[in-house]
Amino acid sequence: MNRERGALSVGLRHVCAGLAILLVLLSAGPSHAGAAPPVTVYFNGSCHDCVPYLDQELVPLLRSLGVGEIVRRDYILERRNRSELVERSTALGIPPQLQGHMTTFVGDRIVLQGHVPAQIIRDLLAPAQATRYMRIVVLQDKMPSHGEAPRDYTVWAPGGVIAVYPLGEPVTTYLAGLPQPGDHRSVSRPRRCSP
Amino acid sequence: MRRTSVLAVAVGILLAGGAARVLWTASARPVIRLDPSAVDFGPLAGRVTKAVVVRNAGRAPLRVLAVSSSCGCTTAAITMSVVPARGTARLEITFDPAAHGSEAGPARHAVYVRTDDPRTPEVEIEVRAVVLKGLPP
Repeated sequence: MNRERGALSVGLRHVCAGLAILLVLLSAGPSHAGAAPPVTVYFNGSCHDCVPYLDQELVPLLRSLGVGEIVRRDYILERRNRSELVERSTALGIPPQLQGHMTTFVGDRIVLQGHVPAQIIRDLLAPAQATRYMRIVVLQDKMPSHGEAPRDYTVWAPGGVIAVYPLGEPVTTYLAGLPQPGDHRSVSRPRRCSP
Repeated sequence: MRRTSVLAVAVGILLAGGAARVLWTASARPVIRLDPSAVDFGPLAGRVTKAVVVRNAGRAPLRVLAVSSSCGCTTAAITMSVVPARGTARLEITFDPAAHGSEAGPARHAVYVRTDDPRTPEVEIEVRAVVLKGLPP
């Protein structure tokens, strides 16, 4: 009888241990799994280079990185979309000088202004980097077809300064200088690189 | 008695004047006005610049926070970042029809000016043009 009770107890322990392991495995999945951030793109449909960029580069890239629903809002055809963009930017504390001709909100944490290089977007959405910032804005407003080859980009996150880096410099350089949660250092001052 | 009344009236006038002055100062704010509020470049085959007058109709300096546009083909620059009360600045808008290659036809864009005008944080200048055929590639 005692032997049976002991075997039952061992079995129960195994079941509990199995459940605990299952719970740990479930909670150890990607931190943003199941909460793919929705994307809103505010753009000008009359900007001839913006629509192909959206269709052929930005949207496929964001989809491949696992974002949620992607909504497009033309702010020239619908003026209320522009008001919405300004209200949203103001509410998120985005510096006005970082306004691009096209704005992409990836959730409320990543704001892409203009035509941001793909590698920067990949880096920002990489799980290893996503914990390094609360919110981030990247601006690259130039297009090669306009006779102005892009040479640099501008980046800002709360807690940091507005910094300009050459296109070859990864955004992780800026992220590495940001104060982390629980970090009691003074506000970091990333190096301002000249293009 | 008469002297007291005169004194009371004088004090009343002084108090009312002071209060009016305080109210006047407290209500001072910048007010942005554009002239014109839309720019039509018409038919064009090359780069053209037109100017818009940015007027501060308010009683406090107007701080220009940012100037942006809806397209890389349209650029804008303002002559001063702080427009004094009742003062003006010049906003120069340049449209480059070659920016998008050889595409011809009507174009509609916008320039946006963000300021510290509390009632109108952003104003829009509508930009229209008709890009002519035969532009250099």
